[in-house]
Amino acid sequence: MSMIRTEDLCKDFGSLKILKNCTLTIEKGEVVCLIGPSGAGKSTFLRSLNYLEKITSGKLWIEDKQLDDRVDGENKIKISQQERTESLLEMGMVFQRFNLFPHLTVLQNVMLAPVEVKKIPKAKAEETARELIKKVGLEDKMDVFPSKLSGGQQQRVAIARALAMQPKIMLFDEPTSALDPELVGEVLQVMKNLAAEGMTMIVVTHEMGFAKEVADRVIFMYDGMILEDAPPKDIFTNPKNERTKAFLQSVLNTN
Amino acid sequence: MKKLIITLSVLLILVGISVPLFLTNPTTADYEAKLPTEFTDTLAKKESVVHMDYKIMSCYIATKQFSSSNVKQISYFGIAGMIISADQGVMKFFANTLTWLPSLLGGAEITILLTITSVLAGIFLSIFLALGKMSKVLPIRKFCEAYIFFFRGTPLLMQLYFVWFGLPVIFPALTIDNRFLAAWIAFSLNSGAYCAENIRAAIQSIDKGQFEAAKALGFGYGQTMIKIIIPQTYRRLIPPLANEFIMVLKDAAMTSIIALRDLSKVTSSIMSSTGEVTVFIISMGIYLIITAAFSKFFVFLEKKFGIYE
Repeated sequence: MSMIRTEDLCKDFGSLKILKNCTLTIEKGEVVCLIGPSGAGKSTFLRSLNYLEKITSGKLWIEDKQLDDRVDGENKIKISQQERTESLLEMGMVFQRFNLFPHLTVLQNVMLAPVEVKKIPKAKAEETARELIKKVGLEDKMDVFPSKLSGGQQQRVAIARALAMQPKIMLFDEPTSALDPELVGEVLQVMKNLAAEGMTMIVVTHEMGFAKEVADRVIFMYDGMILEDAPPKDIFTNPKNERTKAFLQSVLNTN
Repeated sequence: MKKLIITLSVLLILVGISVPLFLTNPTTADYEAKLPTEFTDTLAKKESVVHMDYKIMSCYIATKQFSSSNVKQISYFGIAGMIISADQGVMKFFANTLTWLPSLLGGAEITILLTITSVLAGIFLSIFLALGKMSKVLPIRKFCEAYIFFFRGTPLLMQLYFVWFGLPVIFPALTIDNRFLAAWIAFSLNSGAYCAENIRAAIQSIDKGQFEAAKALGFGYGQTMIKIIIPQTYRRLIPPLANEFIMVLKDAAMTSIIALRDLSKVTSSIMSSTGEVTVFIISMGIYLIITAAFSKFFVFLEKKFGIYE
């Protein structure tokens, strides 16, 4: 059973084609890094998986459950909102700009979704939330508002908030791009720990070091297409595609 | 602690001043004894006495009308056991103020009540209008747009006229025979339209990432609004809502035209019955005090809801 499978995933914004027939399978426990130049559609691809962007055409399975509305012979199959939400809850999402709820404290941020969406009793949710916040190393910031935290700390809270829904898959949309360089390490460390625990992760990133060290597979996207899909040691030492070569050269040289 | 000490000492000083004033406040008999004999002894067609007693100060105005053009009036102002002639100048202004104060405050009460109740009703209404205007359902959106267009596009004065004079003629079943209720309906409907635009702007000013984060965590639209988006609009809403309160407070003066006895109506009737223009100064002073109190309250709210920033 694969965790995520896409087949010919396409996304248009008007006449602009952002994703062109992206086909990909991700197995349980895999850590997959999406790399590529900006505008390649990495973020859009990730957001399509989570239905933050509605896909134009193509097929999408989460844990072998097909989520796209489709025509099957005579029958039009429309997935109900509730059914889809249930499947999408298997995925936690971490955003580039953290998107913490500014009016809630760290603890409340992490607790809110389990209590409101999963209807978990408050005491139980609080216990889990405290554990998760401890896990990301912020036990002394429980009752602080996000505005009082550094970017790295906010991103760690965002990771804890996503984990509170007990997802099977974590999606990271450039989680360190909005951070000051000295704060990147603490967030990557939390992500490494997650990977070591066997979490299935898809990470859109510009951190080639992280991709090299942690990823099981690295996927290179260019112009809305998946051009190369290989283990990191192959892609970084011996890229097959010319575009990949050019991209890696420019990125690794500046680093 | 420091605040407490200041409050206590202010209270102590106030009590220290008012107790002797209270004990020496002139009585009606004291005032009557002070009236000149040529005034008390003459016979008049009509006579009247106004004695306003505020316990720590008081005023006494005796009027005798001999004919329509010949009116004699003697005013006194009393404080700390002294009775001061108040027939002209500043003392007359004081005596007048004391005389008019109860009816002016009665008018102010109606003005404040109308403002608070109609803006609160307007805010309640405007939440639905704002959400409706952002709705994906076309008929709902069009209705809310039309509502806001109508109430912002026509003068409040016309709307007030219409509710009070128009409705009973066009729809006799909708006759409203209570002036306050009629004013409240017109002001609420109008205020709803204005607040709706404020609320919509506040909701749309919330970062799109908040909606996305909520969606990724499995929140539905209603939950997202109630738990995440609307609480964040509170602080942003306070300045425009404070504005709305102050606008309505002053617009409430319009209710004079349907003869609701609000502060402005009371002021103008005092002016027309006594011919004293100084009443406008007192009335404007009362308006300023109410506005200042509102502003202070909203600053407090802004701080309270802004703790997370």
